[in-house]
Amino acid sequence: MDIARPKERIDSKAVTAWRTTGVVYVIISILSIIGFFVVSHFLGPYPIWISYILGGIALLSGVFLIGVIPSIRMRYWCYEIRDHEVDIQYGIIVIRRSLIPMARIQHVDTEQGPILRYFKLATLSISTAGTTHKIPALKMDRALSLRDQISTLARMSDEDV
Amino acid sequence: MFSPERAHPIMIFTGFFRQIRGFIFPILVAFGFQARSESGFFENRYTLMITIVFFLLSIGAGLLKWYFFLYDYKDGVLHIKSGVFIKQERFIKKERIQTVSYKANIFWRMMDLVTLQIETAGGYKEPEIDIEAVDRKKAEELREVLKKEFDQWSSQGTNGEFYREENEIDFQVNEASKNSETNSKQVACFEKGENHENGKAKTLKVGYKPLVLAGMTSSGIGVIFSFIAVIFGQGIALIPEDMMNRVFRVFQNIGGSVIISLIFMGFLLAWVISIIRFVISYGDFTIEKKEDEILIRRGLLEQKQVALKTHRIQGIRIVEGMFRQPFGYGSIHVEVAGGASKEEGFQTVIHPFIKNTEVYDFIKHIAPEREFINSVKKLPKRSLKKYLFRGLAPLFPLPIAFHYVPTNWPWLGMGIFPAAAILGYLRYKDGGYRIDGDHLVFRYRVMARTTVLLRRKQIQSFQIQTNFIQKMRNLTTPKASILTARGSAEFMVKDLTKEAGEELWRWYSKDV
Repeated sequence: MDIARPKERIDSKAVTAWRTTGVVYVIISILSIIGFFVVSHFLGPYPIWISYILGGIALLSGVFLIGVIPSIRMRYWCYEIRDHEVDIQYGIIVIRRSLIPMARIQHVDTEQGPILRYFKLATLSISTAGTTHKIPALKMDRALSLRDQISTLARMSDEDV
Repeated sequence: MFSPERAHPIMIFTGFFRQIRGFIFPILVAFGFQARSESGFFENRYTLMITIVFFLLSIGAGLLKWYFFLYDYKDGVLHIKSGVFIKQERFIKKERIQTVSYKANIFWRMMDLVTLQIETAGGYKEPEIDIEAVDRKKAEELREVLKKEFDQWSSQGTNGEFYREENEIDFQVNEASKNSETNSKQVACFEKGENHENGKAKTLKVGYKPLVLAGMTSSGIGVIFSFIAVIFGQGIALIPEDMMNRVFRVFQNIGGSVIISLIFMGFLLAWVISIIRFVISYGDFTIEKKEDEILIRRGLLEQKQVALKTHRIQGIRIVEGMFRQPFGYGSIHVEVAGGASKEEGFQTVIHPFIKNTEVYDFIKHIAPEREFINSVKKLPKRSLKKYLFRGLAPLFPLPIAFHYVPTNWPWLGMGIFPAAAILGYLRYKDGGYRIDGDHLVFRYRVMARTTVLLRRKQIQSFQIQTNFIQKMRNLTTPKASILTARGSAEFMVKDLTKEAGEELWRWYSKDV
């Protein structure tokens, strides 16, 4: 892109938060393997390859969700909030760059699951009439200030459309 | 103006009852199983325990939901905070609120409570926000505050942008019969090609000859043909076997040419049916342009009338079907914002069959602020390869399938390859874009060649998407989202040059 990349990055703590989410997924898949053995023990033996598949999924998702994806995702995520528009870029294999004019923004939400809350992060979601765009894992106070900033800018933009 | 508030505690129980309602069936089933065994429902320790735990959990969930649900209104912003584990905060500017309404069931009415429903634009979803169990007085107060702004707002000039008009009924179906009689005189004189000079209203009527031609070239034929084929197929399965054998013998005697002519007859029949269907649903097609409104009437058996405000038009599509394009004809559709979620109102055809030389004038007449631009900047040569690949890729499993499933005419199956390649080439040849002032034109083909006319103001968001192959070849896919009756629609042209993507980006951006 000859047009400069959006300037701002998401919080570096996001990587840790995503890794934690990955750990949760892996724990769930390990539990499902244990569950398989338990069920297999009580309700007659099931073929063992099912557990291999479950194990493989657990291992792969572990490697990707904890090791690979979070840092890459973090590196490719960027955004910028300008006077008249929000500019978001993300994606590794498919790079998506979206432009949302302030005047089109309907409302701004923040969203926070238990893991993000623990790390004091929040996801900002920006809705136009029809589309929704998310900026994940921002620092909580940053998300709040962005939300206010976007709200004010969006209100100002209403007048000069 | 309003400090953060919780809803009435009764909300705890509504949540609880909703949960129960969802689980009433499984509980009954469990009860049924229990009843069949000797011990009664609650005599079984586990069942009783599970039921109690379930009730406690439901009440707990209702309580938490109520406790964490907060709303307040301050400085023109409605703020809603909710969620137990996943916290959500929503901020809605007063200006963005479309409608504020409330509903109340009988129990709530006794307690003077209501559910406040707040909707913003793009109302294809359920009401965006429900505030349950609000004191009626408070709800009215809140509504007054939000409404005041709304009234001021909608009285401002509209300028082709999306504004709401909940109060106006935009889609009136089947109510046109009364009007049509009074209008028939006026319409009749247009059939002769005269212009109505007296009034401001201008009416255009599509005669039967073009309608029949449109029916002949519509793609409905494919649908009907496959329908007939299915009926035949099912029918054959129902015929007893010995009768089948007899029929086969008859066919063997009369020979292949008769079979082929029978198939041909079937095809012809399907075609005629599709033409009749088209003429019935589009018969008497009349489009009338008033100052800021377009009235469309159509249908022979069941007359349908659609009235739409011109400023609610978000985009215009000119669709030139496979069978129509060679003769220079196409149809024109409009994408309209909001309102008409129920009826088939989304399918808004403003002209079912138009000569391509007349499109410009027609659009100028119907939507004067728009302009039909017929020439587009083409795709670069290097994207041809990608278009061919996309066309052919889904067919690659086919030779393998032929290898394993022997057919009598593999060459017949193979004929699909050149067809797919040609389609890929046509898609490449037709694709393109043009920017003209605040107008944007996208042209692409799936089956029919489609030209979309968009305006900068009405594009809700813009995206350029580049996958790694495109990145290597300096290609990109721009996408524009607009608001439609169905929610949103995304239009794109695949594999434009990177420079084109940047041009479009700069055009859409105010700050770059």
